[in-house]
Amino acid sequence: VSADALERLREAHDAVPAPDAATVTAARARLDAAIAARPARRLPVRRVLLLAAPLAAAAVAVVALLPGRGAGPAHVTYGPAPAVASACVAGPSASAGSCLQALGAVAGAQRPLADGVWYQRNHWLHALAHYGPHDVPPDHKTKHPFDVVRWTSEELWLAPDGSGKLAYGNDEPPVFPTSADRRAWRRSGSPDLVRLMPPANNWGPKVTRFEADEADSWLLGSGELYRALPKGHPLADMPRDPRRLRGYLMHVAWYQRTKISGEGPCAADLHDCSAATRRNIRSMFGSDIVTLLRYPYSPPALRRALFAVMSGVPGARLLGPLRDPSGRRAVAIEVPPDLDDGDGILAFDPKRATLIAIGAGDMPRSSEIRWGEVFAVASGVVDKVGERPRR
Amino acid sequence: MAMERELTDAEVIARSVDDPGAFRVVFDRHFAAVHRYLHHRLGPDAADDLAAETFVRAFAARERFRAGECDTARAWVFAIATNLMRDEARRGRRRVVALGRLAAEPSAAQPAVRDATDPALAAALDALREEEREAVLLLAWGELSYEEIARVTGVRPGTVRSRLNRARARLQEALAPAVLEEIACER
Repeated sequence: VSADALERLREAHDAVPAPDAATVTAARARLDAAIAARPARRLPVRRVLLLAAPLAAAAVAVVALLPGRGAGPAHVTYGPAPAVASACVAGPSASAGSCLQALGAVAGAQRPLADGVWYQRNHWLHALAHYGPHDVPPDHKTKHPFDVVRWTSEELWLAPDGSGKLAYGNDEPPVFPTSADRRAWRRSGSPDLVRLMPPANNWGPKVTRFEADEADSWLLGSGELYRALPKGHPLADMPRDPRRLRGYLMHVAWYQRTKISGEGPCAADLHDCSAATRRNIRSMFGSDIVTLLRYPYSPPALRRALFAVMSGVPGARLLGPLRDPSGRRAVAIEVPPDLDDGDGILAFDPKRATLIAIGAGDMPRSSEIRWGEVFAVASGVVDKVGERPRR
Repeated sequence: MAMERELTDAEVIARSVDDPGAFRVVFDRHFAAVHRYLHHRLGPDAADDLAAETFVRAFAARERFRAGECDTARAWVFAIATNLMRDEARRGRRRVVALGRLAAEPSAAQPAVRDATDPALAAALDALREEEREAVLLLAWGELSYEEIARVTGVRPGTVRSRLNRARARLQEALAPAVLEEIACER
């Protein structure tokens, strides 16, 4: 670059301030949280670096239900599905709000299960590789960008006392997240997928055991929700009235961002929060609702209230009936962008109002959904940790 | 008197595999540069989030760090930041279009560079091809060497050189009229 142009660029950059102390402190707190969480927390990692390799990733998922613990046992039974069908599927009157209200009615009508250990198998996308004109290493470059992903499975056993076990499977074969990716791959000459994205099974730990009450640290770990709620009885203070619940969850989200993540500081009524902190608090609020919807110990009354809170959020969009990646019937809602963290599409079982899959839109490339997590592809009550349902 | 040598980035990262807290040294050495680069490219709010995320990702990937020909992690963390920036742009485009806010071309939604202090320069940078802009900004704002830019962008140093040459020609062409206008205004 010529000296003039380069000099002008550098001069422009000289005017950019160094990050202030609050910014550095907040960023360092996030790094400290990652350091402290190692190795228990799974962190999303993308295979995007020149040195890259796969990752460990993603959040978790447990939807459904458990025998009771503490105040509120959870459930898994069939609810008033016809109401969901009319609110989420049929007719011009269907909307995200009415669909979520109907799902809340179904959730609130669930009954407790018999005592035992809840078993659940989930799938989650744990590695994503992007190949494009600028990506690395050089032999992965293509004029027709496409993504390749690898899924893996996890099995979860949860006992009524909050103990249990989590076991991850190995990498599954590489696949395309959407048909648009497959088409771009073909236009790129159909390079060998295993060579592009070799399995990486050296992440872990693959098996984690929880003592009594320890499972909460994992089930509620997303966004440090666990640390923001009362220890041992995380749902003890949580209102069942939707309006009060909304206020409670906003306060919890504020606490997570400003007290745990070190952002801010600013007042709990947010009046002096920066725009970025307000955005982060709101995003955390949405993320916490999803975490609580899939928290196995959330009782029916709380689930109903959570759906009611979601139904009051402007900007949610009804996507209607579809099938999740495992072929199950679902109704899907797209939450507004300021409430999600890149995974804004939630798919619910219309008969049980359980969250069965999470994904994101693929716009503008296609109208498909890029799924990230699929919950409870197998589930049931077993006698002890380590056993699987017969069927 | 014996002098203790400061550990290189490569040595610090190797140590952090068993002693995770050691990774804070990498943060202390490179956070400000990464933040200022992202600030200049995306604005302060996005910079706060992505710069922090860069070091969380780097920490998670530290076992895969390879120093290459030099012992500094500067190119490595800039590569992570650059990829996060691309991911953010892709995600942002998806959201904008999903909301129906954009009628036609999604890539036109945001400028590639946000620089309110020098609009002519920002416009000239916007007019560059993406790979040229990436190279020139990593050179001027990231203060990376040709070899480091090559590592970040996944091309050979010779390719970096030719991209920078093309960028130079385009920038000169775009900025020259603006300079003349500024002179005219001073008269």
